Amino acid sequence: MESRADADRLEDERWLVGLLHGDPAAFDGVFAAYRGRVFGYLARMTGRRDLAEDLTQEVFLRLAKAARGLRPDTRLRAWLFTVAHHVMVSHARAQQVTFALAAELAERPPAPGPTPFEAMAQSATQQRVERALGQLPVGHREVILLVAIEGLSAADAGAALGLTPEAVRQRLSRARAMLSPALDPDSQRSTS
Amino acid sequence: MTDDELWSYLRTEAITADVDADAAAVIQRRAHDRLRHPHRVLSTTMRAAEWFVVTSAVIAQLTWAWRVVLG
Repeated sequence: MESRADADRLEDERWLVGLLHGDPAAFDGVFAAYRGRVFGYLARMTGRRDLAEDLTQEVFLRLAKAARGLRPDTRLRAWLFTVAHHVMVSHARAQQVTFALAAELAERPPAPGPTPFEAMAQSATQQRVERALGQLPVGHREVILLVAIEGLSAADAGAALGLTPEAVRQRLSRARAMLSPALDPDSQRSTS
Repeated sequence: MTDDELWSYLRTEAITADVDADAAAVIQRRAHDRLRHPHRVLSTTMRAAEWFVVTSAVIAQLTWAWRVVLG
C-alpha cells in the first residue's frame, strides 16, 4: 500500500516536472502545499508574522526564478526549507541584527514574550506546544521544526542548516530533553 | 514516548498557520510573472551589450573616416 509519504513524494516529483517546463499550475500546486509550512517555519523562527510573510514571498519567488534550472532529482520540500533557512540568515545579516544569528544559531536564547502562535492557540495543549517550541534555543527549535514537524530526514535538515546529520541528531536529542518536561501538563501545573 | 510518537504529537498539536490571502495572491502573481519571463534580466543585459557593440562600431568607423579625410 502506498504511504502518505510516498504519495507526497510522487506529487512533488510531478510538480518538479511541471516546474522544469515553467508550468504555472505546477507552481500553484507547490505553493498551495508548502506556503503555510514555510510560513509556519519562518514565523516560529523569527517570532514575527509580518517578517515571515516577506521571507515566505522571497522563498517562492526564488523557486519561480530557479524553476527551469532545478536538477531533475531535486527534493522540493528539502529545497524549499534550505532556501527558507538561507533567506532568514541573509535577512539577519543584512539587518545587522545584534545577535549573530548566522554564527551563533545554536546558542541564542529565545526572545522573551509570547510567540505569534501562542496568541492563536485555541486549546491549552496548543498553547503548551507553541510555548515549548518558542522557548527552545534557536538552533534546537530549528531542527525540531524541520525534522519533527516538517518531516525532513536528518541528512536533509543537515544539508539545509550546514550541519552534519550527526550534529542534527545531537541537537534533536537535546531539544527533545528540553521539550518533554515543557509538554507535560502535570509539571506545568506544579511550576505555575 | 518514543521520538516518532513525540513528533506525531507535535505535528498534530502545533498550530497550522498560513500566509494572509491577499499576500498569497500577490506572491502567486509575481511568481507567475517570473515563470513566464525567466530570462528578463538576461535579455536586458543582452540588449545593453548589443547597444554597446553597435555604438563602438559606429565610433570606430567615424574615427577611421576622419583619419582618412585628414590624412
